[in-house]
Amino acid sequence: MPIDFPNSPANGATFSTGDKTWQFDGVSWVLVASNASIGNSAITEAKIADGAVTADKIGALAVTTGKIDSNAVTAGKIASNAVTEAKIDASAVTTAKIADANITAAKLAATAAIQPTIVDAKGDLIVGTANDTVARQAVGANGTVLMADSAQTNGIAWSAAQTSYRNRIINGAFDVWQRGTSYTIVSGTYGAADRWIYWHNGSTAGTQTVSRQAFTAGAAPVAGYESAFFQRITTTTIGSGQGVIDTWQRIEGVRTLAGQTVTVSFWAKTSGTFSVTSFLVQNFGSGGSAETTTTFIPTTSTTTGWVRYTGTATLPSLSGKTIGANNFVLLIVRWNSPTNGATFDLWGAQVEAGSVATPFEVEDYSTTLAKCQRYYYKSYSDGTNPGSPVTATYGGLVPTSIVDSGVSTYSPGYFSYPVAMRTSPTLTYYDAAGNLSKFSTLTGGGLARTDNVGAVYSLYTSTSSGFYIALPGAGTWANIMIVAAAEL
Amino acid sequence: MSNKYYLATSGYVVNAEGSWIPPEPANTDYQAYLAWVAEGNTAEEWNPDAD
Repeated sequence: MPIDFPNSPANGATFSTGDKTWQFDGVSWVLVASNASIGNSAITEAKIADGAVTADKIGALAVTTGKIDSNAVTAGKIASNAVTEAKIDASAVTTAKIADANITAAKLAATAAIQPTIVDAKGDLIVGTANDTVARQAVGANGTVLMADSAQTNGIAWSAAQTSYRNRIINGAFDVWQRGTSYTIVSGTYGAADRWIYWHNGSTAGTQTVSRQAFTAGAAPVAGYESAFFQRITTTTIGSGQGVIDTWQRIEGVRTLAGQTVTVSFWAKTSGTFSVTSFLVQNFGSGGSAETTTTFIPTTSTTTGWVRYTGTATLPSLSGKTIGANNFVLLIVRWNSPTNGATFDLWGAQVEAGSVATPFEVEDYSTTLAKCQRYYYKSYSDGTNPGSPVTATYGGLVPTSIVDSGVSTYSPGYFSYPVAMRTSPTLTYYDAAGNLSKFSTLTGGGLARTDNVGAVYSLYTSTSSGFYIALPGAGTWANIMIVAAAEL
Repeated sequence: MSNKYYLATSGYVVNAEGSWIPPEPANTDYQAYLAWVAEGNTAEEWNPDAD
């Protein structure tokens, strides 16, 4: 069938009829396309010259994924600069399409990935130090754990594990007050909260008292702590030359934490702006080396609100030291330049291994009381001060319960302490009415009580576990209240 | 510190406050007593009927 081409076509004009298309090249019509089907085997790689297919011969929409066999694209067919980020769909790259071995450090830009060279040793960690910033955290000592610590450059620090009994201070929460809940300070003596001693300098004493104060429920120093009490020192009048007033605790054994990094912490508040300082003193006991003092908290201002004060230092080692009896480590919490009528409040004292003040270790009351009883015990009910009258007919010691019938001049008995004491303690006793160095007798079928009878015959065979007592008169039933002190 | 001590037959030392101090070197009250003796003082014999 003849083809009726248009007359006077413009150069480049096309004409289609049937399944063919021609284009006018200025001289004649040239066949440029045919939609006639091409057999699967008609076009082979051998029929296409190497230079026949160029980018300008392929329309932008001509190549779709459906037209490319999955085996058709191999690495050798793609020029190194042919693949750019703009040509890859966001969902096109999946882990299944990338072999593990194909990703190496050399193929990643330094800014695009964390380089393995950042770590130097087994156990090193990579941590964030700021927004989009990482650094190496060197591995810690064996047995230490990571602790968040905003004071550190990396925001974390290796610290001793937060095990129980890490606080070397006893009664740091000021729960136990066996001696009484208020006390007029005699410098260098016990008298208020268990295990705590009070000291001041100066040539005259003035008048300072220690008292137990109750926290308002929900108002403990830090959220999460609901302790019941704290300690308050009130400096009613300051003695001549008195520049400091201290709260001390002697930690049994100078070997405690020797040569280790140690952290001291406590919460404090004052009635005005004062300052506090804290030390640990290694005392080598009688006949031992001269004591050493290490500052843990340099002089720091205090305020009227609860603040936790912390300090870390290394206690000297014991190398070359001579250790005598009754050695200890002394914690000093020192209030500087007290004034008349000021108050100094303390709670949550902790001395522990490591460079971080871990959360205050809260103990149940019975555990703290048992620890305190190693140093001080009273046969009175908890909450009854030594020397107070007791109303019970019984109580204290009843020596005749084990009376030796062969003894005709006195009645022996044995008393056992609930906790083995640090050493054989000094014993003070009272009768049921509270008379010092007296005892009460119980006579007749109704065990009628008679107070203020007399002194004991003797105390003997004392150990840290208990003691024998002898009362004058055979077959004596008695009521004696005792106080046993084995403090350092 | 007590300024007077009494010595009981059991070896205990009784101080002026009536407290009984065991003859135990680790007892700090006994150390104070020994220091008092070292100063040239001598304890009297304890007499339970004295008062």
